[in-house]
Amino acid sequence: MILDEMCQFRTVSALSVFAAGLALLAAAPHARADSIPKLVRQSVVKIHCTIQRPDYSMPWLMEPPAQGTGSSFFIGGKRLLTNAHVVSDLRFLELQREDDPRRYPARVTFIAHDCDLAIVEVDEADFYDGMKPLRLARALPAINDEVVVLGYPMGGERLSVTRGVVSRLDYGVYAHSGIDQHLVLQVDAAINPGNSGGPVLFRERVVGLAFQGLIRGENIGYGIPLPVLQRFLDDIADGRYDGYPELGIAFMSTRNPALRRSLGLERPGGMAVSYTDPFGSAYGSIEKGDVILRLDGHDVAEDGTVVMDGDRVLFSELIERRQWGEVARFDLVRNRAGLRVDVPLSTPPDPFVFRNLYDVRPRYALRAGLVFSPLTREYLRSVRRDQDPNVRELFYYAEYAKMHGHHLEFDEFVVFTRRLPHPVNGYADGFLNGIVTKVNGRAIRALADLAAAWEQPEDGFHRIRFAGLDDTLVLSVAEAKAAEASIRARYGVPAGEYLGEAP
Amino acid sequence: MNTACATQLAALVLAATIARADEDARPATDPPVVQVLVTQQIVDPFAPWQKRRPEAAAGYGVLISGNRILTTEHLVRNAAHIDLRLPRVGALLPARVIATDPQVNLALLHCVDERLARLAPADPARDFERSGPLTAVQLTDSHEVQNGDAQFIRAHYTTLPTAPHGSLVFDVLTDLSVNGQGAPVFRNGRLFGLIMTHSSATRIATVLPGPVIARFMDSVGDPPYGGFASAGFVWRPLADPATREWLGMGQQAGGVLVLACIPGSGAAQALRPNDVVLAWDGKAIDELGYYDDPDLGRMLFPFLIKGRRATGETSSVRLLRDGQPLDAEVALTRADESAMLIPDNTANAREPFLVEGGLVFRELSGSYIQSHGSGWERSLDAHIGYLYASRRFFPPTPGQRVVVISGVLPHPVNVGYQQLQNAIVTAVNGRPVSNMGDVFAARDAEGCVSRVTLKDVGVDIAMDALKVPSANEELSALYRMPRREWRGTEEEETQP
Repeated sequence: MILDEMCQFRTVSALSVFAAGLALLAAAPHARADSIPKLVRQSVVKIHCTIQRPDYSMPWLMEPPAQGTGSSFFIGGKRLLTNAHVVSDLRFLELQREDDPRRYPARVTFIAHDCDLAIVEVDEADFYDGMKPLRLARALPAINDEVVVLGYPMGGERLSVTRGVVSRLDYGVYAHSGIDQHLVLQVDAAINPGNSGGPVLFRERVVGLAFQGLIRGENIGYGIPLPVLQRFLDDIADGRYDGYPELGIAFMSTRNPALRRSLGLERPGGMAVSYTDPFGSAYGSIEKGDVILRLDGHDVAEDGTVVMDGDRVLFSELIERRQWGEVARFDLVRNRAGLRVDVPLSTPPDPFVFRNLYDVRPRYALRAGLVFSPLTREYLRSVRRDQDPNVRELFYYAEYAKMHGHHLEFDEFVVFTRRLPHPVNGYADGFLNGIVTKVNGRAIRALADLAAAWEQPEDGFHRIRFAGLDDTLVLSVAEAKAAEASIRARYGVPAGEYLGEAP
Repeated sequence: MNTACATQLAALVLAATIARADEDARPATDPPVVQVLVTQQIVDPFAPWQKRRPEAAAGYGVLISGNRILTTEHLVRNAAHIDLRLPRVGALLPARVIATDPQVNLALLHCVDERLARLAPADPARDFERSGPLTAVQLTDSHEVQNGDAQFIRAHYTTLPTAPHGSLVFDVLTDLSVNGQGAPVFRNGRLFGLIMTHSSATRIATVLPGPVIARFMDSVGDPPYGGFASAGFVWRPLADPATREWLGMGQQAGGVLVLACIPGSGAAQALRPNDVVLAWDGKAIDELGYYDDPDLGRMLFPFLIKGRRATGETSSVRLLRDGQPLDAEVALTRADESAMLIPDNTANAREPFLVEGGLVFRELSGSYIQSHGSGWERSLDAHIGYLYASRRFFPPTPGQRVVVISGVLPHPVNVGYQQLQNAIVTAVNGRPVSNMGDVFAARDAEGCVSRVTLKDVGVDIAMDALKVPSANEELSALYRMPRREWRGTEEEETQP
């Protein structure tokens, strides 16, 4: 008993580390467990998982495995819904029902990092005996409606049931990816390190999935609300998760009457497009300076909001609920004339969106003891944003990659991230955190280019150029070649590179 | 001290004896140190139409000839008022600044009060003699002279603690617990240097040396002020054998690598990136950038420029360019901030601004960026941070600055734009702007600012041209702005 509790304590703290510093939601005060029907309780299942993250500063290394627990609930078929962050970078997964000592091996069948949701399934059929799927509600509860949160928070083995009140439905950043914003269900419930992935129920129907808490605020817990769950389930209906289409526009409010006049707007309303992202769905269809008056038939107000189901929400909520391949219809004003534009929604992979990475093996190339890696959010987090001009340049390139056209020269930013000291590279530190632009005279658009260019030195020298100052890192080809094996052996690097899976 | 001076001093001492018997007991050997009491006041960087609350600072100065007092520039920076106080005398003697140079952290004050003549003026040492005992001098809180033994530790060329400029600095060990900057150190009766900083933990004081002070005084005495010489290039050590071989240096020893030349500088005319500087004015430079100075020993080579040469002179430089030896002449000028994309404005001088329709226009400067607080590296926009860290010396076109809307004073005329903060401005009223001069010209041409183009924002800000003039009046009253603009040319009282 004591052992088990200690184990759980350890894993909960590990989980919060992996969930980027989140406390996990558990509501208080405790509700009377017997008020929840057994059929509902039986559908809420405990997750035992072992996860392991790579060390992005030494990309061939793994951090120690960490054990954790979470919650999930049965939604039909063989599917159980849970949080992506519970089962990301997974090494081992078991599910356990309440009042059942057996643990069943399970696997992840769908995972959506942009909205922190995942589907897990158990192969053994008897796991599902007597289990009835929880049904999704048709609509969200109203503000101040009482909801019930079920799950397996730390401090015990059995199912916990807590109550709270819906206090707000708003947009928020999902900490799992670090940048994606979706609707968030806010519940006034005390926050304890506890369970993620448990259902938020209103009248025994699922209206949300408990997922993250605010460390600062007391009695604020967050759930992933029904529309996000529903969209995820619709997305995977074809057997594949495509993700959220990104429109890729920034806009300016048309509140100012003088601005409205200069844009040729006769009435209040509409938002002025100030930027279009080259990787967004709208790119090529919608232009800077356009004014969006209507989106899918909804009038867009001057602050970018629309009325949807009686509520005023940001226009992006209309796009949020859409799937890849669908079309969004825009009524625009362009050069003072009306225009209707249909925008097919899809988003190509965008290497310049720096999301938290999961379930990927870090890519790197080790050459002459110099570690080159693509720029990642994980790496940006590890460097101090101080006076070092190279670091300041990294943040600038990361934030302005597309706005300033750097995406035209680079497919990703290859950064000199670490030096494994050896006589061959003793003078390279001044170039640390530099973005590689050329190796041996060849332009470096991506890590694979660096590996290829390394094979073609001239005159016995490797020449590495970086964005910024007019300076060259020079290495002797003969010394570099002679050093490779000994550097790998000395520092225990199993392979000189990992450039990614072959296409 | 010359004879005439000594005679004068004796006469004054006599006069004082007759007039004020209570000051009789004062020893005749007081060193020429005065306390410098400064009321500092800076222009509010975020509300440039007003000055911030005054703050008091205290330090020391040294009397030199002509009723002038030498002290540090940092002490009197943004001084609204300065008083001097003599040892053991309560009277405050008003003084004013007659010359400053932040590039060497030196200032010269003038005071007309005759009581100053009770002290014997000092002369800065013009040689680099450093042996023997030194005396550091300051006043106690009871205005008594306090002497401390001091000892020279080392001479080095380093960045000043008060400005992004290099200078020769002496490290001096002293048993005096230094309580203010500008406290003098004497050697054989001459001014050895002024203390800039002091660490009570290590008991080391950083001292601005006498010869630097003497050069400053000579330049002040020979107007127009020429200041200290600079060549204007960025360099790095060249210790890496692979890079040396790649540069075709063969068996050639020493040398440093030129990385970039600052536009408009002498170096920009004569040097190129990837040049190797082997020797400067005949002195061989080693691979770390040091040379052998006849007076100071191993010294960083920029001292050959700033410490040994004067503005207007030319240095002869031995280079290696594309593997071939080359002799070049580099004209030396005073490092000129005005040519920078983002000037440092080390001295925190008032900067041009314009408030139109509540939009506050200004240029970026180092002092403005740093006034965002110690965490500005994280809080400020990444593009601005990058420009300041990596591009501040290099305007894409001559005269270019970074014009921003630093903030917005809310008013009905600017609704929709009130969240703007440090947004880079590229055009005003449809006219491209690259500095505040262009902003004023664009405003003057139309009578007001009604359209602003921001970098990376595809929609121009528009304000009603018919309403902006009256809004300006309302804004001035509402936010109590005594002035809505300052072009940088208007006369104003800065100090008595």
